[in-house]
Amino acid sequence: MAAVDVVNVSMIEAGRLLRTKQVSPVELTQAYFSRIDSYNPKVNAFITVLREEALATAREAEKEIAAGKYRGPLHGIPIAVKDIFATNGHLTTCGSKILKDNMTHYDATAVARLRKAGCILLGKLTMSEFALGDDVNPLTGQRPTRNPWNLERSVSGSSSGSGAAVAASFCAAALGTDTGGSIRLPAGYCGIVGMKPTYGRVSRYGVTPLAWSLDNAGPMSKFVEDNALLLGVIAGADAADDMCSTRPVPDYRAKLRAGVKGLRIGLPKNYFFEYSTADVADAVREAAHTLEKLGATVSEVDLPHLKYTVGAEMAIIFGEPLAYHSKYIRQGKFDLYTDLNKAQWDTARYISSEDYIQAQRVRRYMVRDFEKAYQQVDVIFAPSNGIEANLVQEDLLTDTVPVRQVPAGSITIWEILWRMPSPANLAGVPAFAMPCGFSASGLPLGMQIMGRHFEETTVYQVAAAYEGATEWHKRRPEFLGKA
Amino acid sequence: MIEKREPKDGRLEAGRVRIGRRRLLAQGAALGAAGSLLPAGLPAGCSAPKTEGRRMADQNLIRASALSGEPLSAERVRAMKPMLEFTLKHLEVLREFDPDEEEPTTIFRFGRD
Repeated sequence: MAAVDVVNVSMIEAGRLLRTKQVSPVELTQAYFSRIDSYNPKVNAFITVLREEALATAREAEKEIAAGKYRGPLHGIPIAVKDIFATNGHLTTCGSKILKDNMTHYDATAVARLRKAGCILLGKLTMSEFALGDDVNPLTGQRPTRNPWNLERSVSGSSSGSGAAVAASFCAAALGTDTGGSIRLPAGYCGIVGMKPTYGRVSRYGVTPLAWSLDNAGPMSKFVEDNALLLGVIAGADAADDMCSTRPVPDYRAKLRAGVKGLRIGLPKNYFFEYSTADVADAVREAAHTLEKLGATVSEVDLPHLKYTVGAEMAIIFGEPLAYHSKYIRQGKFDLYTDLNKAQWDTARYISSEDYIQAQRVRRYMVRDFEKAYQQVDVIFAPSNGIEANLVQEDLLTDTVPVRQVPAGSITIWEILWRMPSPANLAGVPAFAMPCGFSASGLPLGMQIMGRHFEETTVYQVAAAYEGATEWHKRRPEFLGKA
Repeated sequence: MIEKREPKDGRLEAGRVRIGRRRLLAQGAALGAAGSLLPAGLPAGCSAPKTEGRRMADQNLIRASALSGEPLSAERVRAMKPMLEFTLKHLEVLREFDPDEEEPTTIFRFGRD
């Protein structure tokens, strides 16, 4: 098989090729570096490329597989991680000048588990500064990360490099983090899949915090089954993260071919579809009806406390980071932050203790809303982003988009991108982003499938059925437009 | 025997009856940085802060920031104002959240894990 094809097959298929020695880990790794060399200068997805280390690991994997010491389907698979994950012996910058010299000497738990499974680390990926600010490579100053579908479009954030790198086939899969949509927004904009697991499902040890009570780590990939495989490896108890669940990790691939006959899909009556553009809303509803034809039932559900979503998310996602970043601010490093984070840290000073506590209280009511809805349905479909990828030069805070049912007729891009993903973070439920169509501009449209706490298996089951019934995941970006 | 005191005037009695949890919170928060930015709507008999009516004025924001331990410059205030306006708009929606329950739900949790 030619190297150019190897980077576009699923991770499961690449693993089969490696196991049967039709492709070697070195060949596969070199094929990805060839893609990175060709396109990363335009896309700007990597902060650090670990070429020598990756090739050395690949040679080691090749020897092990040849010697019959095959570790499993991830052995010899090249991946990359958001530069918020600590990796032993490398810089971990969090996309910030403040940490541009931050050498870490241990692996985050999720990274350690992937390495143990045999993954090859190709490098560290770009991100919004500290997962909330502007998207800039702190080592080169290059900005921002570009969308492989159209280089004039945004990748969104904060796992911007992870979304772009997977879509551009710079790696087989990537790790991201999601505190208010940071896995699902780039996945939705880039036409790939990404799982924000149940809060506490994946250890955050070694992941620089954004907002402790909302942070999640999760996998991003092109295909559903690859994603389920990765979550199965990185999930599970970790004494180093107090909030990490001790529940056993199920086989997330167990029901991928079970179909959806008898499963119940919910479409929210309120909130999500009102604040989406018409093409996105139609695509998500159509996705539900596609599965209805395969035996699922579709009904409406009510989630009444979602009206508090943006206020609650703002109170927490600005308030908790200020507690973390105040040490840098007191050290006189405020001017090193990107403009977006400067504005957010300063805004956080006007959030009261009342706001923060009310935000945490309202989350409990949102959990109840979801639990009540899940008595009627098994999963809930909603837009992941609500819009197609915006232009990189657009001002998120002031540029508006026409949405369906808001009296004013349009709301800012900033507001939409908080509204769509945040309910799953606030309620702690798993939410899986995947493509559900393309816009008239040729850009991916994303939806999210939300499930019950710790029932990622059902979410993957539904996602796999939809993937099998559609062709969206087979399209590849063409790097159109000017970087 | 409990002695029932008659109100001295109707206005005070109305105030006693009408001041709910929400208004008390607003009144209390008015003492802090964020509270100085809360919208009008204080209880009867409670004088409004002097900054009311121009709560988003630069000088008001600078004074309020000083209470947080990090006095902001006029330049920083102007740079963050669009973000603050967006955030306050949604915090005001959150401030309407009042489930009127006494259960100790102050921390996010789910299930029995």
